[in-house]
Amino acid sequence: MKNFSAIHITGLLMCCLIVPVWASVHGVKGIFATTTGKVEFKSDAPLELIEAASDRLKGVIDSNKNAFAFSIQITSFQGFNSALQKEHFNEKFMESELHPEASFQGKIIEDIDYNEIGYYKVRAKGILSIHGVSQERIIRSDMHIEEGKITIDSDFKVLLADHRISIPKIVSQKISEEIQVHVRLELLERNTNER
Amino acid sequence: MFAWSSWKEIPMKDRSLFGIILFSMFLPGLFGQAPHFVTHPLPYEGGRIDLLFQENRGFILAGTSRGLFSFDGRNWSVITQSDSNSTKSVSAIWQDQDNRLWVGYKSGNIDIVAGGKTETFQPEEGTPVVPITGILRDKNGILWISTYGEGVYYYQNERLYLIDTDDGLPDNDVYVIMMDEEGRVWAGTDRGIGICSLEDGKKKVEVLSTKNGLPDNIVREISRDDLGNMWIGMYDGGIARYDLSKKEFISGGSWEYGAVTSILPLKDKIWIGTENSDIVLLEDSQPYRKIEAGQFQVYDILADKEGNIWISDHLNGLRSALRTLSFVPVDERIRSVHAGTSDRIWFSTAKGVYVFHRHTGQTDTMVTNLADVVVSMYEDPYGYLWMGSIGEGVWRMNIKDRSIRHFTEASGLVNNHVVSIDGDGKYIWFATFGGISRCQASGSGQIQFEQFTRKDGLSTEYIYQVKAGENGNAWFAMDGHGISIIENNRIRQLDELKDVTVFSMADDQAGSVWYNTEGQGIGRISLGNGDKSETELGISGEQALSIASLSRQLLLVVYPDYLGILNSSSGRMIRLGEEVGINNLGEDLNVVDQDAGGMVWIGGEDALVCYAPVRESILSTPLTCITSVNIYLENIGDEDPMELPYDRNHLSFNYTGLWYQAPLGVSYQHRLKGYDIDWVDSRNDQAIYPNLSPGTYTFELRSSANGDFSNVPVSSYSFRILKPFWEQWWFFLISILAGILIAYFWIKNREKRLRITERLEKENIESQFETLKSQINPHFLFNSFNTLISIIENDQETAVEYVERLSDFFRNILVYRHQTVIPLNEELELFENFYFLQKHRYGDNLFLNNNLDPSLAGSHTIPPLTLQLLVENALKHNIISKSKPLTVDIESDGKGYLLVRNNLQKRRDEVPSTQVGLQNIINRYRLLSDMEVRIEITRTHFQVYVPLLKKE
Repeated sequence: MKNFSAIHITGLLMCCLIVPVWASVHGVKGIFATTTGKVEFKSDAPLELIEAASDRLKGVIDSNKNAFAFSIQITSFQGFNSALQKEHFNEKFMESELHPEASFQGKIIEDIDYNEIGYYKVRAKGILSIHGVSQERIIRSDMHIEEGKITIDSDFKVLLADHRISIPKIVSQKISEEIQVHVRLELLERNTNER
Repeated sequence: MFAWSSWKEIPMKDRSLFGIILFSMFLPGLFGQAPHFVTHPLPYEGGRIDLLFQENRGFILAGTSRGLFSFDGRNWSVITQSDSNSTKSVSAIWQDQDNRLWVGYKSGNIDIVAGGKTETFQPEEGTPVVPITGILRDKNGILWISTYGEGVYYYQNERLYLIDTDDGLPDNDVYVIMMDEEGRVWAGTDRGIGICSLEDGKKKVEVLSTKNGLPDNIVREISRDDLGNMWIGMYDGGIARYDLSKKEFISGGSWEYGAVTSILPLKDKIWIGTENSDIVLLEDSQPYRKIEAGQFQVYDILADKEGNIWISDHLNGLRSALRTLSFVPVDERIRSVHAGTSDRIWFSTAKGVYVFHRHTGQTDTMVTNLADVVVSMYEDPYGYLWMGSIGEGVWRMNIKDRSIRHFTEASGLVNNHVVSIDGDGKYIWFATFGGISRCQASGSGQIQFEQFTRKDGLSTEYIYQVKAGENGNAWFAMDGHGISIIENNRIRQLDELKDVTVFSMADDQAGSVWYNTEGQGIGRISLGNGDKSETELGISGEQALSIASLSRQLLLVVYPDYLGILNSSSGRMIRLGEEVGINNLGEDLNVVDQDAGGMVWIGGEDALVCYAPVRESILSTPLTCITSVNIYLENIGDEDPMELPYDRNHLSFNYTGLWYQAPLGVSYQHRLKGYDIDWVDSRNDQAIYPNLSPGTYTFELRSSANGDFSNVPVSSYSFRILKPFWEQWWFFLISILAGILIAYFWIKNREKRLRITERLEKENIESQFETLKSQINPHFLFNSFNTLISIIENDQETAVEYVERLSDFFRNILVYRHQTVIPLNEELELFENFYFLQKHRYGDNLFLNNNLDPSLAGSHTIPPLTLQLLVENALKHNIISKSKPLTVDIESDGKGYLLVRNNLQKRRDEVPSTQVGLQNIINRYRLLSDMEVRIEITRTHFQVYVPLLKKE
């Protein structure tokens, strides 16, 4: 009904964090993972367009539980319009020393048959944590299931205000209040022999 | 309910086309028809209202992350608030039949607020630890609580039970619960709707999901309308209605406005709040319509009891608007309005003629190059718009190709000043300042005007308005001559109004015609009895510009500065003025028309105003409520009825009249029955009555939005101030009884005292007698004289003293014998004489040791001659000789007694004791003291203890 600032899915969180570890140790089937997912973001402000990207998104999907966990190091973003801009991004806006990671963990709402090859439109509900501020979000994604591989494609928006990222008035014309994010990642099924 | 099925009839392609047209107009400033929103302050700065609720007394409640607040139209007050111990972020509000408010928090706690007191709901099983999202009670009295994370709870017989995914609930994250008509509880989750119920005490969950035709499984909102339909708001699927009888979902069509956050299904339209496209309206069979060009999140929508819509959103905070009114901005004064077919509203200004399309909210220019201003319009069934002017006759425009033909007096029109045009499909009537014209409506080019003038029996040719009737007849409002009717080409004048100037008429579709006069108010003619008509004149005093009938009872009256909604049965009028967005409605007469749907369109100075009567019953007077009763300015809470002691008689009442559409205009009348003679006018929200005398009182309060208090509901509070205890019957009774008792005991006591005195007197007399007897006893005299003789011979001086002492002794007896007690020291002096006499007689055979503390002697009393009597007794009964001297000790025993002791050496010739002397002492002391006289006889001593009496 109404928006909940989400604090409550500790159980879910636990499961998301523990499952990959547990799975990798015991070699259960149905765990898909990557460490080279791609994240791009774009701030389209009246006076300046800022773009940056990283290809170090870590992600796990547990097909048994229909759960997922993604995270990325803030400092891994490259691009920007200048080196100074990157420095500002890390130091002033994202405070990446305090909050080195952004993450999204939760469950996929739709029931998916991971054995069925094909394209799916799914919605992932979970806790999006950026700049140390957690928000419950439902994010739409395209999911392509192949043999031993899942490809995720997703576009969504992040409001700076939702994550208490404050922008000085002076540069407000150069940074958009609404950041467009594109995520693409290919997750491979973990081999049972892999330890 | 409107024809929902018509949705299906619009082909998809057309619908998307609609969307494009719609979108093209959603540019800022071009917005079609919007309510007039008033922005309200928030409960606290920087806050936001997640939930809106109107409680039973009428207060608007706001659930925020800091607690629950209440709004009276001007100020916020706190109901529950976060403190250091608990975070009261409100996530659910509900009120039960006992007016108790149930407030659910994100923490999982639930508060119950009643009578200004807050209790925490504490089931034995404990409360949830995840957000509460809904609270309701079903028909069987079972309380249902939904949570975001734990599923749905129900509370029955003081036990809390859980329904979650283990019981078949689609998901434990429940966004909303709503009860359907059968009493089942619908829970909206991410995986569809779980319909929970209890069958024979067993949990039952039925699931509705995309498999059952639900457009989207993520169900964020469920509402129920008056007819029992369940309205579902989804994350991606827009809205859908569940038809309970057909048991199927009917989708609201393609949706492009994102996640739905709230749905308010009213009778005339459905208000939909969205997560990032603000408010979307669904009205009749029209496509979705946004009311503003915004991209913001709506938190909640509420319809209150007086017809306001309340919206809490991300951009505007809290806003409200009167649902009945909406405005189409126009940059020039509107001179005429005509509600045409296909939801087209025609209006003219000095610049030209325009059309407003209700469907799209778009305004089109029709014509701008006419030779004069259009002041009257009529759309005929053949696709022509007739436009009348003052001085230039009429134009007829083909609406499709916009070709225009011009008709004037030269074309056969009776007069070029055409102020009103109306038609019934067959005829078109023209009211002019020179009589009446009529022509046949037709699609062909040939137009023939007929004329009705003074010659045909018209009493005046100065006509203000024509209204075409149903059977080919027409009504005319005339200058100075009331109303005339043309039936079958015959002119008939209504006799009752023949001297009145009538500006306009309005048929209420229920057998009456309203009319607006110049200077004589508004009247109504009932057409019930054939030709005979009844009139009621002067319902309202102020000069109205025009009128329109809303229903049998309600009449809309246009005044220069406001709209009046007149209730003919109560005579009450609601004023819709500046507060609700109505500023200037101009000075022109009859710039008003009513469309087929009953909406009234009014041309103003800067807007086309639409009044849409709501189908729900709404309040016409403020909700009056006494918010607190105070004694010495201290709130006493909810005690009712109340009895107060005589000294708690400073009462004050805080109250409010809730009228959210114009809170500053509310005025009050109050009276204290039993104190005030008449109503007291007030604009304060407090009445104070200091120093009320004992009696029974009723505080009565009524409020009004327009100063008219006739037939207004009255709130009251009764109380009694008790008489002070000294005016109570029981006090009288007790006082009388006490008086009688006191008198009784006093008399009793007096009798007793008298008796004691009597006895004391008797004892005194006896003692005196005894004393005198012993003193005058010849033995004593003889002994004394013998002693005297022996002294005279030896020592004459001592003899003289002896005689003096003897005479003192006798005098003292005479002086003291009448007194009950004398100071102990006087007694000792007295005794001194006696001892002197005895000492001379017995010489060294008699010793006296007075060991009394002089201070003790000064502060105590003793019956006179007591010591003498006791010593005399000792002399009388004991041997006194050289070999056996007698020693008498007088001393205090330290315990309140005076002790007189002598060594015991009884005489052989013991005179039998009569004990009269000793007994007399004992008797006297019994009357004087609680302590008894004690006599102790040991082997060696005889000792008498007499109580020492304190000097008074």
